[in-house]
Amino acid sequence: MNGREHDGGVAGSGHVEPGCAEALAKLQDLIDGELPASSAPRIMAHLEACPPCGFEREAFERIKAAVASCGNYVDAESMQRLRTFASRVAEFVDDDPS
Amino acid sequence: MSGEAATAPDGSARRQRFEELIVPEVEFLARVTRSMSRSTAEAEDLAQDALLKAYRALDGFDGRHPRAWLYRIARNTAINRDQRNRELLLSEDEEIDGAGDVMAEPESQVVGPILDAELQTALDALPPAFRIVLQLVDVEGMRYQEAAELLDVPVGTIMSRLHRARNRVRRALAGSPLDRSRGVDRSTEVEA
Ligand SMILES: [Zn+2]
Repeated sequence: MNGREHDGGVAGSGHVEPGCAEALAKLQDLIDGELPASSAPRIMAHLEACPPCGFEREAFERIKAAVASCGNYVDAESMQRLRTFASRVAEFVDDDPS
Repeated sequence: MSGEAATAPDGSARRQRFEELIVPEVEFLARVTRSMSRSTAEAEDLAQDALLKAYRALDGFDGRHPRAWLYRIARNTAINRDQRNRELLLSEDEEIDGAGDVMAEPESQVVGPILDAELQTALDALPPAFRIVLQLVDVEGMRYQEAAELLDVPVGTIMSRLHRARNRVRRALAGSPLDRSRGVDRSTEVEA
């Protein structure tokens, strides 16, 4: 799996270095802050030394940040209707002979 | 007919617990139901349904981790309400595998600013099982382990869904007409 991602993402630009496969395989863990302390320094060092892998990191960090911002958005009117519904939910249920 | 006399004492205690435990989570509910749905309207309907179910079930809830409790209700509601959701929310990874999990080609890498409308379209095009993992990890800030527990899947599944979801988003953004209209020079991008 890692080899295939590596081939598609980086080898396409003619770039092959030892350590790329591992760095790309661990990239998601790294940007999510889930990389174990034992391997973090090695991966970080590679990403800084290897421009194509560094580019990958930048692209995925940008996507993560954009998703975080976009997913935080809730339509204001929809939110207001939901709050009103929550405040009145008892009315809908008390009438329900359950 | 009025059931007030019989239900009042019980009902007011329940209403109070609902205010304390569930109402503070309404915004969270709005966000996650959106990630389970393909439109704001569908999400709102799902969220209302989940609130009703939560209210009905509240007496049996021990009060611990209301956010996770409410999330599970919403998810079960989404799964039960239509067959498409059942398939998409419960499917195994092999079933939501498709073309499109290969890495983005170098000429289709994201370099420009990411527009919200464009991103929302890309997110809506993801299988819900993928979109939800992005929501939990990237938006709600959950650790892999927390998301895995909430969704009852192994941590490795969270990781693989995240990775594939991000690859799909990346490719969708890079291939969109908006991306081209920004005048991104993709020939230099390859060299970057
Ligand atoms: Zn590299």
